[in-house]
Amino acid sequence: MNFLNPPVAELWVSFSFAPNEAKTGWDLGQVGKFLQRYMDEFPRLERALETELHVEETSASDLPRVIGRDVRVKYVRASNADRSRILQLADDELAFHLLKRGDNYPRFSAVREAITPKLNDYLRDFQPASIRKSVIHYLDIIDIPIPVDGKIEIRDYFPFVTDLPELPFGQVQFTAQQFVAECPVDEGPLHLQIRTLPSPPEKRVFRFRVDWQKHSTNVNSLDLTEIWNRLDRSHQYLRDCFELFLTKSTLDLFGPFSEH
Amino acid sequence: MTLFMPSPTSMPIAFVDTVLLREAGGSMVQKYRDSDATQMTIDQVEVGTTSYPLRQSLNATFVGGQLVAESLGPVFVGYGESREAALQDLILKIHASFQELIAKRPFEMNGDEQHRWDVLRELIDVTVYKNTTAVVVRQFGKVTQVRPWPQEVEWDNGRKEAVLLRQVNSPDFITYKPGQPFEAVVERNPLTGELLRISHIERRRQILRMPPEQERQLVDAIGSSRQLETTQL
Repeated sequence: MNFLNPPVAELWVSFSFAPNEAKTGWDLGQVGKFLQRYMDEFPRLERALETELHVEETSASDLPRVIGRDVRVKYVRASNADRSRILQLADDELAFHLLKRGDNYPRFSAVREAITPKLNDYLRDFQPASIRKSVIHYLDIIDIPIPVDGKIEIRDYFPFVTDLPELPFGQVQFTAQQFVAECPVDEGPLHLQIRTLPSPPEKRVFRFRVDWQKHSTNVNSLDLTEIWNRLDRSHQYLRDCFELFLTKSTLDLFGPFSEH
Repeated sequence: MTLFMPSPTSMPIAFVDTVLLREAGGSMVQKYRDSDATQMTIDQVEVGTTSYPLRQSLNATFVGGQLVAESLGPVFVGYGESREAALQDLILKIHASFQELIAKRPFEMNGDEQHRWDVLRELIDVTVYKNTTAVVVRQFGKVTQVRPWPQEVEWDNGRKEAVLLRQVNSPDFITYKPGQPFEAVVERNPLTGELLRISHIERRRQILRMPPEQERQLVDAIGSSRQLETTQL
């Protein structure tokens, strides 16, 4: 089943690498060189810093003292002008994100097409021993129109979301639930989370955020054909789960049409 | 489960955290926001020289031109083509509401304003804001010590105060001579009244005091409540 108006807001694929034996740390100089070749495609750079404070106990009557501070680059992101395509590098990690802009929805095939040459460059530049793990992550934003009486039965839209009785709990206004499932067709778990989000007041919708994160673990290979086969299987598995996780009423909101 | 639309006056819920994902069988914990590019963490809300002390960072999601922060609910939403533009819009909305509402007493607020103020107080430490935001006052005075540069002034209430040249935002101040009257916009510590900065200063003519007799006549002409008739209720 395909959709005219799918709920996907962001999609990314990431790879985690096992470093080669000569690695002594994350070489930011090499990161700079790696990104340099994509300057035209991704002119914007951002980085996330992580600060670690070292604190020493003094005495019972005094406050602990800060005796050291480490600032590390957690990841570097290079993006295009409207930040709809993002290349992310972290220590032994490479990811490519596609974000929805206007009517352009992120598609798995587009992510695959975009990340493949970057992955090849990464393997050549950083010389990892192998790919340990790959991840596909879909972020869906689902807006359910609010009916006239101002309430919905959540199971009419998400049949597997668990329930709280109105007595004695009272009215449920927000919910967040998560599941971890062992995928039967590809080694590695699926992390699924659904939760409510505030929505802009003018939209008159209940907004849900659904995160689908499928890990492919124990890859331990540099054979890209095999790696993409596993990703393709994982992707098909995610599609099957998506269609089952939502009711027909919910799927109808996305304008479904048959591929045939 | 029935999901009810939150009433307009209900407080938005601050989620405990973005979900923690555990690797199956492992101890590694991965947060969505570490890798999710639609999410952003807002650590500071600043407009010009005004800085709002946040009780905690804001986690916001930018989707479809809307930046929605979970702990602000639908009360404050930023709109923009890019997330930077939406963030700027959100910050200006917070700034505008805060400056409007901090000047009001609770009984002066209507229901909507009270709700917005409740959300803002959850976000911003208002006490710290008040105690760290300079009080700005207009004051008259004259220079009393110049050795060799102006270093002390006397305000029109008779109080003398030391002034450092670096506290005065006017290169011209260094040329002021002893006895030079002036009018100044002064920023003071809200707790101690200590002079922090003179953001504007201008020379003025000496303010001449009326002769005592003329002043008494003027005061008498204004009248007082004692001259009003007594009313029996």
